[in-house]
Amino acid sequence: MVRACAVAEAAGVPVVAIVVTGFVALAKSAARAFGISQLSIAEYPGMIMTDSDESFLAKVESHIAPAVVVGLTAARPMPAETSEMAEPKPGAVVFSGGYDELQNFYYQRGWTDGLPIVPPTPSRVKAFLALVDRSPTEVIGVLPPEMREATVLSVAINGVMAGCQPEFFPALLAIVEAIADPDFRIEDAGSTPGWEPLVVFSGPVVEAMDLNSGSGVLRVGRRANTSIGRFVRLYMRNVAGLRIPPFVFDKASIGATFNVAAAEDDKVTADLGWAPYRIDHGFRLEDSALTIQSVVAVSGPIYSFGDTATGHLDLIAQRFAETIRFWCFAGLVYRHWHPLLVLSPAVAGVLAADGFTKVEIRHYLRDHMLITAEDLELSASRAGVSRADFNLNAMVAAGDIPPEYGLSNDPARLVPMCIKADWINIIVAGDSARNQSRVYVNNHEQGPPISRRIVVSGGRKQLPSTSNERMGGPNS
Amino acid sequence: MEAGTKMEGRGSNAEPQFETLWPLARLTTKSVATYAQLRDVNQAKIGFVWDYMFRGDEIFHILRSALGKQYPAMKFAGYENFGNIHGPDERRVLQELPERLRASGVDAVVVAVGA
Repeated sequence: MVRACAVAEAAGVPVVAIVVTGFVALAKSAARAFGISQLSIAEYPGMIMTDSDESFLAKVESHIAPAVVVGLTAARPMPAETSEMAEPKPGAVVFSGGYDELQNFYYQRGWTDGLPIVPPTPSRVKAFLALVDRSPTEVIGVLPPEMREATVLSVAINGVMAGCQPEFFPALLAIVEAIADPDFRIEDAGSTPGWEPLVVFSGPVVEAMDLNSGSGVLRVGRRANTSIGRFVRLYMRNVAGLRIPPFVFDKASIGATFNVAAAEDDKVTADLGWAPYRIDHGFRLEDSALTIQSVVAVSGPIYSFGDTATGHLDLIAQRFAETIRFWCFAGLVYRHWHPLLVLSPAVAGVLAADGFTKVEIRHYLRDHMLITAEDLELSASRAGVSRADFNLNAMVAAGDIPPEYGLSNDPARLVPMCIKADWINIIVAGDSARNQSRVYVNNHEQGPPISRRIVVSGGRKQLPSTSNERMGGPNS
Repeated sequence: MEAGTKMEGRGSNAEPQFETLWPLARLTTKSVATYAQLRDVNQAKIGFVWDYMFRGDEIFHILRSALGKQYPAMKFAGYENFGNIHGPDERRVLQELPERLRASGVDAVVVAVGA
């Protein structure tokens, strides 16, 4: 919305933005980031979606209309040129002192996630940089909403702070390349649904970095999974500027904590005869790759049972559908929606033994996850989408969604929750001794799966390995 | 001992001292606003630009009525002229917005809804 204001202002057309009270600070900060230091705002007091019709009318007439007039007619002097905000130079030493003092210094400036950080000393950062043939000043991209340069140096510094090992650095760079892809829409990671990125590793990197792909795959506890997951959130705070209050750019209404990085069980996947996740995303078997996507909701544990594929898939489809029922409208609104099924190795074995491929599983789930047209349209309007803009038959007529959504006017007709089967992603991971799967739901066009190959450089043929620092077990 | 760390104090009371780096990076913000002035509000044509969320269509309807009473010669261009600035076509819509603003002849726009 503020981006549209910037486009209009840049075109020489004066703008008044209508913004509800709780989003005024965000609108002003976003406007500054987009190059409007003085955005005219007509403030709607309170919240639109819980006001009665009478209250809504009164507020628009008594607050919005006069504020729009003021915004249109007030003098708009060109703001005086301001010198660049006094900030340190990239790579500058900003702190000298003891451990506790350091933690407070970084925390007070919003530079941590609330947990203690590993001190980003020049020597620790240098150890990261030494593992790649890339200049520290290389700009990978510019990350909205705060519009800072995502540099190789900043990746190393935040990687140190998150507790990553230097050997993880090529993976961290690949992650930042992915989130800097405009299609990832990192600027929307502060939107009200409060989605969190989830990184999935596939390939030799899983073994090399001692990533957990088995029991507790999405629990903290293994250094690579945990610290890389922490890094993603920390980088989004520090370079994209996505911080919760007292800062402004993260407007997650409730939100969730960061996801630890996940890893695909390569051996089980190969034993099933299924293509691994990296091949699903266009890489070669010998590549190491990662895919990052948003997660806005997670299913409960899905226990399926029996020795037939359809027995398992019917249960998975049912639980899957329960998780996404009131959010699946977003896939139709934005024509993007990419849930991830983390499939139990044991259940995957039954499916594969019954001859199911991942493609067939996707189609089966897509065809068995249904919702009434009425529920679909209601869930959209309850989230604030205009009823006029979310009418299934009108969307079919416009060619926006497939004809099967508009076969009748019966509000009780069943329609698919997911437009396309190939939007459903699948990895095999988790405890091979149990029959549990889970579904991770993405936030439509915000954070679609973006993949990158993990590039080894510095004359190395293989990924740097943490083999000397693997976690031991109870008998070690 | 690594660069950036030294010990302060003596014996078992010695505490490591750190020199540490700035974790942020350079801001790239550039001013884009022209701060053009609306010359005559009475004769102005106002465009409504919408993200198709949060009852914006109703807001525009009320606004059109209220502004029309106050400025009888004021003209309006509805949100249909500009496209959905939040939907799947957001990038294309924003790319086309300057031309659509020009083509519709608006003197100023009201953009909604920030929520």
